[in-house]
Amino acid sequence: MESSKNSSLKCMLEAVSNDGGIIGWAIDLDVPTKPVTLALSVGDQLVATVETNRSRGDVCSVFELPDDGDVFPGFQFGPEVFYDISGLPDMSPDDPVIVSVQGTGIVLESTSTLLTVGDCIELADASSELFGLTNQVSQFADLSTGLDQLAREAQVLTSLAGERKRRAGILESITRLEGGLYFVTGWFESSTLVEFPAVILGQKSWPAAMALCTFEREDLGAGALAFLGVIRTDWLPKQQSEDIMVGYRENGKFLVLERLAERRNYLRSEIEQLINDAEPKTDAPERLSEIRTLVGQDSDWKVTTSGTNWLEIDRAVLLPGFGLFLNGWFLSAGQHRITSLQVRGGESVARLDRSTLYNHSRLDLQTAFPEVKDEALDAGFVTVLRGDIKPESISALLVRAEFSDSKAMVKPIDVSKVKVLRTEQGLKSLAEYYPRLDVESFAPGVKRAAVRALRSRLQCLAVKGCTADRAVVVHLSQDPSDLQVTLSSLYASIKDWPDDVSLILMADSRAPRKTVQSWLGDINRKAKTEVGHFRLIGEHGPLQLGTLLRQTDTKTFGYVKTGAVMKPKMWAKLANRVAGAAPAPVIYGTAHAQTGNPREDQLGALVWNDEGLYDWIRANRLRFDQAYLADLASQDGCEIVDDACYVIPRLPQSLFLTRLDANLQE
Amino acid sequence: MAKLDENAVIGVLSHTHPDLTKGGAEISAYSVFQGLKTLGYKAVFIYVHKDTDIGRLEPVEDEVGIVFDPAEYDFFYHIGPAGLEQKLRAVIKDRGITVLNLHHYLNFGINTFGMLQDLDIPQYATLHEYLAICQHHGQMVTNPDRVLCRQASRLRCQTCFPERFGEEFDLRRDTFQSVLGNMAGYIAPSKFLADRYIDWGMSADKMHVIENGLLAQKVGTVDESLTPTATETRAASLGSDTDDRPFVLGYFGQITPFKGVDVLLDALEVLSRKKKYKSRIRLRVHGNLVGMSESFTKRFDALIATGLVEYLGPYDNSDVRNLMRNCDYVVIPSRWWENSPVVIQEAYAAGRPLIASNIGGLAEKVVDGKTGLHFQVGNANSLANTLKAACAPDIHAELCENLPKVLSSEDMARAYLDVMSG
Repeated sequence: MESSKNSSLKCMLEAVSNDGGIIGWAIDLDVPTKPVTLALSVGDQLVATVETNRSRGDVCSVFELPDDGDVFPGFQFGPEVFYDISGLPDMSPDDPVIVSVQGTGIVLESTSTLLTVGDCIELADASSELFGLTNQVSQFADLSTGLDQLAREAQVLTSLAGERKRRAGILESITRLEGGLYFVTGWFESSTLVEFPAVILGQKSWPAAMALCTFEREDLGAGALAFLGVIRTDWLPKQQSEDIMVGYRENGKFLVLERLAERRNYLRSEIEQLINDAEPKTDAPERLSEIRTLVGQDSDWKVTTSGTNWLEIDRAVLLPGFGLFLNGWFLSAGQHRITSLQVRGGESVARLDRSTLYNHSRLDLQTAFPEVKDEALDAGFVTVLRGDIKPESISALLVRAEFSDSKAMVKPIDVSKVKVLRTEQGLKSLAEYYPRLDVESFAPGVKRAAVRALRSRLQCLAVKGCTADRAVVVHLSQDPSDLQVTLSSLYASIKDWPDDVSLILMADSRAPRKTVQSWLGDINRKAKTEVGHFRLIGEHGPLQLGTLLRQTDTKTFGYVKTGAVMKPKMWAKLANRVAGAAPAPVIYGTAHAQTGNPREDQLGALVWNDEGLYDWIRANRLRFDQAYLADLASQDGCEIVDDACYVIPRLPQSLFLTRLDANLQE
Repeated sequence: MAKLDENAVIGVLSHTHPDLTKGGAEISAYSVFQGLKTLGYKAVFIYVHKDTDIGRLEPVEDEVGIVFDPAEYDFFYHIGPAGLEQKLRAVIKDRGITVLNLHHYLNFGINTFGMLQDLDIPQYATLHEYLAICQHHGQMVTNPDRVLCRQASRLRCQTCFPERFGEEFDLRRDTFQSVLGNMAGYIAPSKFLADRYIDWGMSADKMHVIENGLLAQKVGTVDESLTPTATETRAASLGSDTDDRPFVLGYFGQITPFKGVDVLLDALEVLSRKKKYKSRIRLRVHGNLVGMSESFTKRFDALIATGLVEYLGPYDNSDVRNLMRNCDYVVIPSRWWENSPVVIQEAYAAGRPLIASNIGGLAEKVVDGKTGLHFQVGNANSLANTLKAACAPDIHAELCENLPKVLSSEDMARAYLDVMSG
């Protein structure tokens, strides 16, 4: 096995994950513009090869190469290689998996244990769970077809094969509206309101409900009710979307509405008249209001599409009295941004709380859509919309997005993806996965495996500087406002920092690079010690914080994060374990602890400012309960030191929950 | 007046150049700069601009443009881009500037002004609207309902911008107040604006009210051959049966949702329902439409088609006095508080009284019954009644006689020097 140390070839294996595959970089310094071919192999079996083809400004920066579009040192083996490896014959779980530079024998370095076949089997399982069936969808001709196919694969509600379907009514009319919505009328034999009907295609049923309203009609016998409403089919294969049937479950049986051979198509004015006529007859007027919204009587909320922008909501969690948590993804052919996001349920509208907006990578979209490249790094989002949407409205939620190209889109949210949390339940679980929804989908065992694999594989570029005894690690926000105010405050205050304190900036790939680089240059000019700059890979900041700390000489550090943070205890555990250095990192408490979690007024302001930071260097801003710290120490073997400092979060999760509680109690 | 050191070099900072945009703040800054030069002081006009604006700017001695990237500017905290402070510092050093008059933190960023405070150069800020207090374009009207707001607070601001945390508004206020608080003095073009800033927490001792002076070369001279003139006798009042020419109302400035042109159109429609008024009143609108709704545009076009309204589009400031003298009154129907709109001074200079909303800087600058008439803000009936009263020849003549003398840029510069001299 050769090493790259004395060669012009430089390379590094950086990360292994079930959603991202195997990621790293390689470059030939003699010919930096020439792609390097990497080979993935087990023993003497070649599994896959890939060429470097991704821009990596951080690598270029270290080797002082221009990042001007000619040098692409990054590479990635997609998650499918885990399947390939797991399917190899005659392999032992302990056999090492190797990435090498093809034709040289140079094996890419990693920091700890080698990746093994056993790891890959675990990762393949994790990938399978994460992607569902999508990884079996090989190639799509275009994004549109791909989306349909992805939706079709992913959204099957019920398989009806072998199940006897009973005819239970008549679907009298189907009128196509915008955006895959259909206005339907008919009747069925039931005395109860249908909550969640389904659209039937072949032998499968699909969630379809948006809003239905029932009422008595003179021509129907006893026990039958007429209905009108709106169903959604926009995710169905287009060529079949006119051929739908509607059914629903009642008492465990699946009931189907017979479709008239000559079904009616209504004009919009006729639809409005039908809705008006139903108003005095129905005992669910709120449903009529939802139906009115869906058929687009309110022009601002008429369902429309925006051809070059794709927005999907994967999960919506309604917290009555507070707002709505959304988890979804957004892709734009024109590189546009979402500038506004609203959800409407009945007459209530919830609006985007931008400070809670998180973007995260959705590499699974690359599996589904081969034409999606780096934009998948930003495609996922998690956010909170504030507004009092009633639980009764969940079957008719509309999401409205405006984009930076001045276009807007209104589309319904699939009711099967909406969950209602009550005050007494779910807050804790909500807190668990917010804001880390992107990894929450892992099963516990898989998650552990992924964390283990990541921990052992993460290797980041060395941090320059940071030779001081004390360091302040500032984890930069992605929010442009926060970023500007943070960096300008650092610039203004850093000349007054003590000589033995250095600054390390952590920025992930979503932080606006130009902004960070230009402020970094300015801050460096004023700082007494060189400022470290550490680019995060993916979403695993705290893990990489451990790696970072191992590369510095600092004995004491503070971690400042301007966005929402994970639980301090979890952070402490990860930092402690991952760093793995001797002596173990010290976790600091304070002699002036106060009972309970940090209070807002103790922070001065949730957004940290230079005054707060300046204070921090000398004294505490955030105080933990002594018992809590003692508990930490006993569990994790951490050393507790008085009168020092620890973490300055802008929005501790505990506080986040406190806010929710307060809001709900009002 | 205590004299400023004769070797003083005064840097006048403007967020843009009047050759690029014609807002009140940049015209005011340029007016001070020109006034100071006319009085024999060394002054440097420093402004920021986009790199794409270079072709629109002429290199002029004592004027320094600094290129900045608006994409790197934060419009919530008003944080300027990295590097701007160093460029500014270099200009200050190179030109030997000893006093700074900062006209707007926009584009520069309040952080940039803060960072310059270690230079030991006294800073005097001229406040032009309420942007430090109010995130809603500095208008102090609510978002999205545009109701007049009398005081900023964490709760009120969050009601307007629910997507932001209250703490963010606190930080925004603290950032502004900490930088502004270290300045040597503040200049407000109206007492109303000064009081708002004092209520917000600024020092009353440092606050000075100085009216904007008119920049001679930007406003132009008057062509006396144009009619009507201030001294012309009106033969009949509005609604009389004589065939005297109609009363002409003039609107000058951008037509934005805050400017209340819709109220003016409403009032005209109220009056035009009666035949005797319909033929006796006309409105000339000068300026461009910005951010107006489609329904407004349709209605505006319809009124133009009736002949009641004449739309003359954007105008050059050097023509404004002649354009105003073609009107009997200048109308400012703003729905927001305003500060000291330059249109008021221009109207006085043109010898024309004003009809204005009865709030804020407008109520202060247009003295009801003396230099113009007020109407209830946002109330079309009130405006219609005021128009009826205004269009009586004796009232018009009386108002014309009482119009105040306007300040020149030299007058304005003298008042600034007074403040800067302590």
